[in-house]
Amino acid sequence: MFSNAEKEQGADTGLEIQEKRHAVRIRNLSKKYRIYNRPRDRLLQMLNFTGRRFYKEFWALQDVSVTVRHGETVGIVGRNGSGKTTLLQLICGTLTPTSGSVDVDGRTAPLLELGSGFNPEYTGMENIYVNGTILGMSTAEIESKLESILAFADIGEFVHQPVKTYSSGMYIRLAFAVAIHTDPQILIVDEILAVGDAAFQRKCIQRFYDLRNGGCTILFVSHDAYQVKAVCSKALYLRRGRAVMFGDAHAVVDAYVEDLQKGVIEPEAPASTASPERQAPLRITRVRMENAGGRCVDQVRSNERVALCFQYERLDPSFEGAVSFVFNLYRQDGCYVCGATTLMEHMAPFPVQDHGEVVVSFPELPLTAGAYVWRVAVNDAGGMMVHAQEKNVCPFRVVDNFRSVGIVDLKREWTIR
Amino acid sequence: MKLFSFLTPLRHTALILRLARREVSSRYRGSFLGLAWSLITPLIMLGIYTFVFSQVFKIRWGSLEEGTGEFALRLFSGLIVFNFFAENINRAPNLILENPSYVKKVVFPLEILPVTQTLSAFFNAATSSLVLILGIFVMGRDLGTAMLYLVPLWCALIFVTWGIGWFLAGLGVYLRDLRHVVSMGLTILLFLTPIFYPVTALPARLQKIIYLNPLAFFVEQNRNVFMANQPPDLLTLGIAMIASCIVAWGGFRLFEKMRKGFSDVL
Repeated sequence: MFSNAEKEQGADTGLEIQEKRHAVRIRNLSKKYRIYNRPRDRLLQMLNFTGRRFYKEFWALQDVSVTVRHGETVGIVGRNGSGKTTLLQLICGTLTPTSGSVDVDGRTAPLLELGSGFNPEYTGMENIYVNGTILGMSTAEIESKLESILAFADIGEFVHQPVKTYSSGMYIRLAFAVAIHTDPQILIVDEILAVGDAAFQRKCIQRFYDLRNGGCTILFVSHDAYQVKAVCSKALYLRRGRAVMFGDAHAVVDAYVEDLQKGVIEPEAPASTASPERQAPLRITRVRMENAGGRCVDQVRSNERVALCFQYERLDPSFEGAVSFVFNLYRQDGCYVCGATTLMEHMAPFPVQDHGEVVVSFPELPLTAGAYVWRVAVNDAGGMMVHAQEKNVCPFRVVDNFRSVGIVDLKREWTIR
Repeated sequence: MKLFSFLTPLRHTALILRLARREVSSRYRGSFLGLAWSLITPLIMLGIYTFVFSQVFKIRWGSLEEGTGEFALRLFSGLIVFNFFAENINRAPNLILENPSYVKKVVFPLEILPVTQTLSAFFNAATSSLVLILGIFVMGRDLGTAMLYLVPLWCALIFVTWGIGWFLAGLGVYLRDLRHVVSMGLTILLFLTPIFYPVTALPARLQKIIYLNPLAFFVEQNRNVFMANQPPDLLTLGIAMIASCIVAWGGFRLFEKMRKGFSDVL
């Protein structure tokens, strides 16, 4: 019935539809909240002709213009309160803009707060039907997908119980299962890939990749700069309700991270997406740093040849698929020196094995004197999810012969004229 | 036509039916007799009325000389209309407030909530009417062709209920005192509606005034159709139909105006 309504609207603007190449077009979008002290003031304001103001203004979003083409994956970054969620809600249509316009072309699946459309008194089955209908599926469509939804949610006989009796994990699983089965053309995700246990997360992220590869447009909010770079083609950086930058994901995320470091905006705790402690499918067993002679070391000379080696093992025998590998190097005071993944270096994901070893060689480790520490991790094939990680491992010292100071001993040539 | 814009929520038929069915079935969920209660309750109520009014009080309907149970049936036919109206109106101010997630978290056609409510209340009215018809047969009487007039009559009643329902549902979001005012108002309305007495029992001067109460017309006509096989006056019915459409249209428009602020308030 929703789609019918859309078709009717479409008939009026048939020409426009043919020319539509954007999935979401936002023009000069602003959202102003009026902060009232009492609910009554709101009515007084509505009925008021005297010009007196009963509210304080707060701009959650100001003059944002963005066009997203079909099939693009767009990450939205910014610190808490910068308007990310407001923007997503405006796109979904749960909020009405104060000014400007949002034009969305296609069936949208908003995964803003999962299961928020659920009625706690209804059984799981009833909620599947009601929520599915709200999300724009016909009854026949829901019935044809019912089996698949139930299989995805995997909550067994509980589906005939009221959802208020569910654990939060079951609730989320059911909600995600319904939302993801609407065959959305536009998926709107607000940090919800961090839900459920590790096995379910993998299932969700797999579905996320499937949708993306199937040409679905995705808008998603993330705090994880690396995640955005890994999966998004474009990114939008919001600061205090204004669009600071929109464009290539790498450039935008770099600008955001730079601002974080400059202290223009304060950093926030990283998202809980990286939570391998819970039933991780893999475990990193041994991390060591070797010198050129193959001996484990905790002290190296500047520009010495070293290798970082780590092994992983598969804990969950049913876990299959491909993985990518990560290393990060920090100075002891937390300063991030360098990090890279096999994905960033354009290596295809590697099939997971029961036992595997990864060796990263550094022909010349160009560090200046100081104390350093490594982090290693195994990520999934798309770079969204951390399967296993070890932080603060292999602390080591670098000694130098005082040829330079700072962090990095840059390769250099002097020319004096 | 613009006047019938209030019918647009009906395009969400599937959702309305699903929610209404759920509403009705939840009322009897888990009970041993299940849906049978929807017949048993009005049956027992009618039995009690018959006993109290014909055996205990020996009250007669106006100046009519009629047999046992006449008063109870007439009372009951009026109560069906009133209860239908009251059930909707009583819940209307809370409809949106009770479902904040439908406002803020999902794109939900909020305007269907009063419609859904009406449908589940109509189910009650329909089962009660079945009991009423049963009572009429038990009294050895028949129903007549005037029954056909129930269709336009109830359509008009439903439209009025929607209109007021939309208005109250929207206003209730902003004015939380509304539900108390409404439930008190309904109690007063119960006695100001010719349910316990016929309009003709009133002094001539009041007979005109009582029709200012929109329910008076519906209660009176519904009773006449059932109890006396007397069709409503066509002109009055026409006016009522038009007026009810205007009420529904106005309520819907006000609701659409007010809904813009819902997500900011809740």
